[in-house]
Amino acid sequence: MRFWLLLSLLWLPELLPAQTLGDTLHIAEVEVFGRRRSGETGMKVSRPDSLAMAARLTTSLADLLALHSPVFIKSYGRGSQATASFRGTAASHTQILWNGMTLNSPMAGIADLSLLPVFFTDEVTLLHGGSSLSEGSGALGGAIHLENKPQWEETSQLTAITERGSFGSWRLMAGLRTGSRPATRSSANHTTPATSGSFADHATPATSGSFADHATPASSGSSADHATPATSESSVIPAATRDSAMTPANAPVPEPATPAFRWQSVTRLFYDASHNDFPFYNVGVIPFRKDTLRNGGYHRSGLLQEIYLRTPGEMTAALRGWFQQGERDLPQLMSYEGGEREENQIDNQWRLQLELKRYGPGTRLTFRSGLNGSVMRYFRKAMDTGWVIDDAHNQELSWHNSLNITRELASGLTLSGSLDATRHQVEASNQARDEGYRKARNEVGLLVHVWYKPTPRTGFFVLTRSEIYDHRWIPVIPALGAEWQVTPRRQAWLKANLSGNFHKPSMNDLYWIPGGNPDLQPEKGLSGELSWASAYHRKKWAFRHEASFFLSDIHNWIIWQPAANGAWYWEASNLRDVLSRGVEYDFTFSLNYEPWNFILSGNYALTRTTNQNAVSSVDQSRGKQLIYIPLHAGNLHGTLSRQGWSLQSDLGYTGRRYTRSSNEWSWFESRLNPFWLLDLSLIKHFDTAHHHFGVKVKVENIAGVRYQQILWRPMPGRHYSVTLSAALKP
Amino acid sequence: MNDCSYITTMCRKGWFPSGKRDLRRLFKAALWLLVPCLPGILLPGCEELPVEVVYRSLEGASGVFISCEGNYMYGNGSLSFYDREKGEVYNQLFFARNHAPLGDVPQSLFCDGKSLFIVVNNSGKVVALDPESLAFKGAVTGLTSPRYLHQVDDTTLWVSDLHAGGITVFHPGSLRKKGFIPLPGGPAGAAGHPTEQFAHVGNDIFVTCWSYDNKVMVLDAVTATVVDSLTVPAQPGRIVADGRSRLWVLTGGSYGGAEGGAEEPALVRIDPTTRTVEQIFRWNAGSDKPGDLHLSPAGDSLYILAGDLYKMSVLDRKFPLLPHIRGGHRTYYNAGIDPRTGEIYLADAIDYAQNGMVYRFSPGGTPADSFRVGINPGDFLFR
Repeated sequence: MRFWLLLSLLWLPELLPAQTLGDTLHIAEVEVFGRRRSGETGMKVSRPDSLAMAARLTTSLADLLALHSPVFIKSYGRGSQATASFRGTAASHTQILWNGMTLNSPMAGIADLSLLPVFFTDEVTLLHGGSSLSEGSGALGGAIHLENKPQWEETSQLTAITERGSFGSWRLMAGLRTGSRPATRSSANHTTPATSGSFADHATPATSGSFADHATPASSGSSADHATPATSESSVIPAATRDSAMTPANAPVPEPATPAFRWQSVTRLFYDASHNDFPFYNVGVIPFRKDTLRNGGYHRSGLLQEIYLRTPGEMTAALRGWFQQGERDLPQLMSYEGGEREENQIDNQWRLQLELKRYGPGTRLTFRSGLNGSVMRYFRKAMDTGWVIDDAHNQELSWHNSLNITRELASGLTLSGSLDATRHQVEASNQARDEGYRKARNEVGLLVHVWYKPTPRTGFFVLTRSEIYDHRWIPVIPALGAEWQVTPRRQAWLKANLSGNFHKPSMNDLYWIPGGNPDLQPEKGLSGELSWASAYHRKKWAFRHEASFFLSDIHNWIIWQPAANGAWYWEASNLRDVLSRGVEYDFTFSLNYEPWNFILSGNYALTRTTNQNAVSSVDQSRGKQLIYIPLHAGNLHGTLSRQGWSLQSDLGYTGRRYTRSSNEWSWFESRLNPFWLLDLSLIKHFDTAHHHFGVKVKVENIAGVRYQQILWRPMPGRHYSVTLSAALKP
Repeated sequence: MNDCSYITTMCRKGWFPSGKRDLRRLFKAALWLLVPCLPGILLPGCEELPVEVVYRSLEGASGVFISCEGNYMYGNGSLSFYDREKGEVYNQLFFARNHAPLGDVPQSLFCDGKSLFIVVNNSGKVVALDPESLAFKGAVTGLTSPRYLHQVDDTTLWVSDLHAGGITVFHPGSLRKKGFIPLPGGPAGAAGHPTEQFAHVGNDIFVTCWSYDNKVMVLDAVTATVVDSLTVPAQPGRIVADGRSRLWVLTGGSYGGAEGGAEEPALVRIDPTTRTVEQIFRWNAGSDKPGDLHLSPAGDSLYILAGDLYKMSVLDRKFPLLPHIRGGHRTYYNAGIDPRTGEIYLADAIDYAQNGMVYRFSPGGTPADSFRVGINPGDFLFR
């Protein structure tokens, strides 16, 4: 019943485009619609729109994706670990990339999305299923790419955001963008208009030929943005940009208006802290009682420094440094009535990256080299006895190198080749037990990716990746796909792709003491998808939607469970075959009826992911949904704006999750029943030519729903926050 | 403008369908959306209903309580009861009676005749229930990582603890803490020995020290003081006293890691009178490791669970080559021996993430029946 209700809601906007509206269209410079790049031919790629990014600027990536993508986020609560489950796969099957560099822990194989602030990224790109192979292997579910870009048309900007919320929550974000000014206005035209949000931006020099579309939102024409309504007659795209995007590689490259050496510096700071001592009704103990979350506080802070250089010779250089530290206490389950514990986790991370790009006629050369280091300390102590039970220190250092050459061989035919080399060095130690291991791993990967667009309405791609790690060679990881515009006059596209993939065991899987299994085989996956995307655009309204059906078969799924030989410890084994299939759907509808502006967007994921190889006759897990992956999940967002005022609502639905592989559940597990959450925000903007001020009042979980993401981990009821933002553009 | 005129205006503006043409467009628009959603509509299966939880009073019932550990940090432990006369099993009994979860990892059971005690390890408490009605009577809270109980006398219960560095003493009636017996020493950095199971011989109480330890501590039952200690192979856990007043201790061994140096599990026989280790039976490297140890009702045989179930006379000087009951494809997790009938109960954890099975065998190893209980069946308490 809930499924039908959700589907009905999703239909509503579809009814509206049937009408004809007069008057003028004015969708501000809010990038509502997704953009596509030429290298994404035949692939399923999506991006949370800039409106969503702007609305979630003070949150973590986990909060953004939970509300604005079909990715299911398994969160242990506010400030606690949050991991992504893409298309029903495990957390380790989602790769998180920062400007091409993987952020997944080589030890655990996962990335904690709660530690990644949205403020530190300009664009978030989701590569669904096999589409992730263009960025790397291992993402059996998909990859999430975080990008930082310069904004050449904006020379200086100072931004500050502060947020105070319930439970002693305080967030502070500050950013400074500065650099050399563009010599003339005409050169700025080669780049794209600013999207909303202070740091959204575009990196590609305007001088390049066919690759200009890599940074063009909603550019028209052949390769770029065929799924977006803004493609046809959008008035928000300067003509110069559209021309640039359409320029074939072998055509004469337009000279930049004023080639000059330019630089830009972007500095971002964030601080996020909360006592997180929210009240809840504890039904995990007898007698039930009003309780307060204890030991749930956290604080984290970080600095991201970016320096960009652009030479007249069509070369860009980027140097980025990301330093972050965080500490969080780890609360107990609701049923805990034991002695006081000190249990916390410290995560310190640093990343350095150098990126060089050179653009030539029809050619782009990209070199990246980066270091990714982290220190994680997990500490647990029984306070009454002073016994330090765990004092684990995990240190990781990864050195990533990547060289990519992309060349348009002929009209519409492009070849891209990448060589990646990575070295991981990890050390785990538990000083409370004198345990640990120290290992290194080298990985080399070669990618060949060809895409061909013989006509504006058709496109194909073939991709193959080869990898070597730990003296093991994975010769071919193939993928191929195609896309087709169904009718020439309507923006309706059909896409399909098929791919193999594999996921290396993490270093903990292989070497952890005790229980690591050096004989583990890599997990292997075969996946396919079929997508339908269409867009409609009239004067007053625009609508786009995309639906994808996917199927994925994963062999040698690695799980940890008590040792098969009866030993006292747990061990990693290749135990399962998992079949995942489902549907992803998302849409955006915008309506402008002066002075009102309305945007409605939503997403829905139906994910059926099941264990296929139960052995024992009494094993009831065969064909059953994997634990903690809901069959249904979706979100609906509405924004109504008028003369600087905005009312935003976010409605989220999470279906039932199981804690047993057999999908049996008891009444006490009804805490994991489906739940709806509604957030409301009221926003007021004050804008002048050089200043921007904003006030936002937000009420989360306005209905005070009692729910649990993870069994017996309480979540807060209704709570509030006030956000003040200011931007200064000299 | 009244409501009707407003709607008329909206229709004229084209907001609502006002003719066949509009209806056709509406239909087309719906179709465009419907087609890609078809697989999603067809895919959902039926959602199963929760397992029915029915409270049954156990007054006069004869059978066995089974604590089911659930999964660590999931808080989904439970209590089951198998009525041996009716051949019926009741699951989720604690929740059914008390409408609250039992907690995280119920480790062991104990009954002093007046109360049924459940040690809930990762909830840091010992829960006391009425043994007939299963009504919640109270709990000993504030514990660190409680494991097993031992009754010293009518007014004294000891609870072992993995991380307390000693033994907590409480009154089984009032559930008030009476004291704490510190056991200084233990692994490096520990606040004391990590205590596990008890065996009472004469005036001495032997307690194994499991996690990263290698001691069996000997305490005086009257003075509650340490009187001796024995060094045994790494990680002694299960301990039983046989009919000849010999103690048998099962050790888990240690993990040496990639560089080797692992210590294999062992079965250790101890003379409690002289407090000396008499014999050590070592497991071969590569063989299935032992997880549970029990005595036959007569105290003349040992049952050792190591993948298969082995039966061994307390007089044997060699470990049996052939199993008493083969494990096959089953994942035997724990065992229980009915002290009245000698029947053998073997718990199958299956994949450790679903409701487990309990298989019942005659003392000779002939299968009798089986029944399904909660997740990871751990301890058996017969009555």
